[in-house]
Amino acid sequence: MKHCPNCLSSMHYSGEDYEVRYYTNLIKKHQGQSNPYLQRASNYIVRGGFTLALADLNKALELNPNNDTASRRQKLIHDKLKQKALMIKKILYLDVDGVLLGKNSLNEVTLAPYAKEFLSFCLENFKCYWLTTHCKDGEIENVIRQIKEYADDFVIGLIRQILPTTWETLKTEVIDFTSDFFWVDDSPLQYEIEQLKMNNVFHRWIEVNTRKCPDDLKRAMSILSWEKL
Amino acid sequence: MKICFGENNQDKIELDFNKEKINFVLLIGGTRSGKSIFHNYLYKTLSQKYSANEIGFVFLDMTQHDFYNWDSQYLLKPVIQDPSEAIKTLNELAELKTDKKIFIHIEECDMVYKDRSGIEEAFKRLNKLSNIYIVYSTSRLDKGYLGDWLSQFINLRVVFSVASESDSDFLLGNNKASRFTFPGERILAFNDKQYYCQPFSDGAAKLLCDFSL
Repeated sequence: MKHCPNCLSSMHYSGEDYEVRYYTNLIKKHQGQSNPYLQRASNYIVRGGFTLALADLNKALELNPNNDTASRRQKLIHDKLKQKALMIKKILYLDVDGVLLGKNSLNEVTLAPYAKEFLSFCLENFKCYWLTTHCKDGEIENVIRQIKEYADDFVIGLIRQILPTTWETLKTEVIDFTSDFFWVDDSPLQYEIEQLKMNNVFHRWIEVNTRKCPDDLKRAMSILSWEKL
Repeated sequence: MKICFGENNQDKIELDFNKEKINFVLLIGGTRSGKSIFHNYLYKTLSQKYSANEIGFVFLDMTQHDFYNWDSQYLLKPVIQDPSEAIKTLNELAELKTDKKIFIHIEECDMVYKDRSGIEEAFKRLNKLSNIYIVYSTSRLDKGYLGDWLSQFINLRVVFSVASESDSDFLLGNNKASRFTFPGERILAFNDKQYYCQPFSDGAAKLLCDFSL
């Protein structure tokens, strides 16, 4: 037995959705009042149901625009949902040679133009993984070694944030074809391209070749800026 | 047929293909580990040593960009880029009656995934011919088929920098190839022997980079 917090009358409930039904009945019982909505919203919040809570808080504020608690909680939930949205980033697989490392006019290996901006952009908007022959065993140290000679500490700091992968022979072993991913690479194997086509995800390969087109990372950024959402 | 495969502390490391019974060379290592510069060096050396009447090359380039501009009297066929066409070519070469030494270069492993048994059948036929040499170059270490090929076909491994100790261990029985610092460092492994070779000098590497037959 539970008492109504508003009028202290006795209320009986049982079953799995006990809490929700309890507060739903409160809402029915005290129609037009904002507090029961606020109370059900608190209950949703405790259980992580932010969207449902937000709907109740909106209703509570509609009924009483001066309800400070509802207003504070509404803001809190907006922030939480924003955070949550940021956590669900699309996946981006990155190659090293021909992508981050290109060639200059003297045909020497160099960090590709816009690499710094490209890495910052990717890390901010995607969940980034290495997909390079320099990282196959879940360790990034070999990748760092390959790039270190051409990059400053800021770039090294960025590339350290890219997650390692584990694979044996084909880069496509890493990719979950059903996931929301993009793959930036200069030249996948013909067989890997076949795998992409077979799984109807060929369009998720973004061809970048900074050996032939030094500014290609700038182009990749503009493609990815449409795809990040 | 004696070829210098590199140097270590100014000592030339020369290999006699006939004496060591080498007719199948594996070039393996990660991207930018020096494989391309090495095969350019190898084909440059061979073309300087032998005339087009004595030696011929066939390039099966699955990357579709490594040999795109190679076209000379040394080439028996235009560069082939399609895996099915490449396997057909291997079988045709097994039927070819010629005294010429023929080097068949296979770039990357797509043919294996297209038709492993087809390529292996062709290798078996080519293996019987003493004038045929195969150079198989890949950045992808597949322990499955390469494990079989190491015992069946490959007589010389040229191992460049690889990503992991386990890859190096698989190829050499030690972790040395996972510790290389510079592109072009390599270990030659054949007949229970291993030799370390230094990278080419920067100047030589630059010239080799631009080489084409």
